[in-house]
Amino acid sequence: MQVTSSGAGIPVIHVSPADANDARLVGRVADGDRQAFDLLYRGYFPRLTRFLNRMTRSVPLIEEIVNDTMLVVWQKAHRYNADSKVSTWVFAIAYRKACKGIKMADDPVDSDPDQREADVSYEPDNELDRSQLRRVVGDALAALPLEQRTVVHLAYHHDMAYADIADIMDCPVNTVKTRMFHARRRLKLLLADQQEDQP
Amino acid sequence: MNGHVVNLDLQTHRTVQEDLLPWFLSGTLHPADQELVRQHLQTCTQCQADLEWQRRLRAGEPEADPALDAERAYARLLPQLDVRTPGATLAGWWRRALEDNSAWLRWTAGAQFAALAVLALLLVRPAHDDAPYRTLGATVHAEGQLVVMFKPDTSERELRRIVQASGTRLVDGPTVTGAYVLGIAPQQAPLALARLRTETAVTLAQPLAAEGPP
Repeated sequence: MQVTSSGAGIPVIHVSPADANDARLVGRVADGDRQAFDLLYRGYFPRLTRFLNRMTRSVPLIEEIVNDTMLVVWQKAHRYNADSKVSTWVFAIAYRKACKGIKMADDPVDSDPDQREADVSYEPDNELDRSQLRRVVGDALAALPLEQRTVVHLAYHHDMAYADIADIMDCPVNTVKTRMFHARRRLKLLLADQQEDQP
Repeated sequence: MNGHVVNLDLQTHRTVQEDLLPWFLSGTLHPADQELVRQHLQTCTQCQADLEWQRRLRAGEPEADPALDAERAYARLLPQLDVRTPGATLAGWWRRALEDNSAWLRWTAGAQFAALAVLALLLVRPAHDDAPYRTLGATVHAEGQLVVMFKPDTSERELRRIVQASGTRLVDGPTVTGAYVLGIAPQQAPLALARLRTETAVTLAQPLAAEGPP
């Protein structure tokens, strides 16, 4: 039972102004409104590409997955029933498309930690400039299994609740939390190992 | 501080560190869990350090490949937008039909209005049932709130007994971490808290708001 803070016993989705605006746009898209779809596409393109870029490095594949995702949004907008946020719905489509697309293309981002550059610190506590921090974190994230990396990215960089992530990845909430726990433990090891490798 | 209290602290520490911290940062936790973490962080230096480490990880989000081009991708998608599914077509037809001011639609709307008027008349008839009605979500004024966690193997019957014996009522929960929020009048909260803490099945019992000095 997922009870709200109101105690009413009815699950409530806390809707931000951005979520409400997305829902309005999807309603207009269901009516065939191209202008609304245009706004939705341009709003989601950067978010989806940031997300997908953690799953694959292929630019053409990322753009294709975004287009496949948004084509589903265009065609199935009338079936969006507001049980979840628009962002959860869109990201869930993108995640499914990406898993399928990456499998077919055989182009995962996963990398061998041993092959990473040895001249950077993987400890984010150090005084790194922002670009170096991004590179360090990006390399460490790339060393995680796809499922763990996806949870970390959605939680840290897309501010998604674990229930939303569970919806997107179509798995139980506890699986999301377990993946996050193991991912953090592995990231700490990766970052600490890399610091030790520093001269 | 006795051993029981230490166990409660350890339980909270494990819950906060293993499950809740990442989502505390984004503010997406259930309010009871958010408060639990906030209180725990006031005294736990280990979780404070972990939180700061995670803040740095969040700040280090890698940028997307600059070669990604929204305009180029959108231009490729546009020709495919003309193909709509049958469901979408039907939904669009119905909406257009509603906008159409044709005669048959006016008759249909009139019939619907008449049906609604009959239903409204039935609803406004005086009711004979004078029993008080209170919705599940009705707020109890000036109510205190306690956060309680039970051992995982606690039966529903035992849980119900404990809640009744403490004089509280279930307001919320279980949250995803298994916590419950119990409501009680503020002046009775300390006694209820003491009763709850004597129960062996209770692993955590504390006020939802910050607890004052002992």
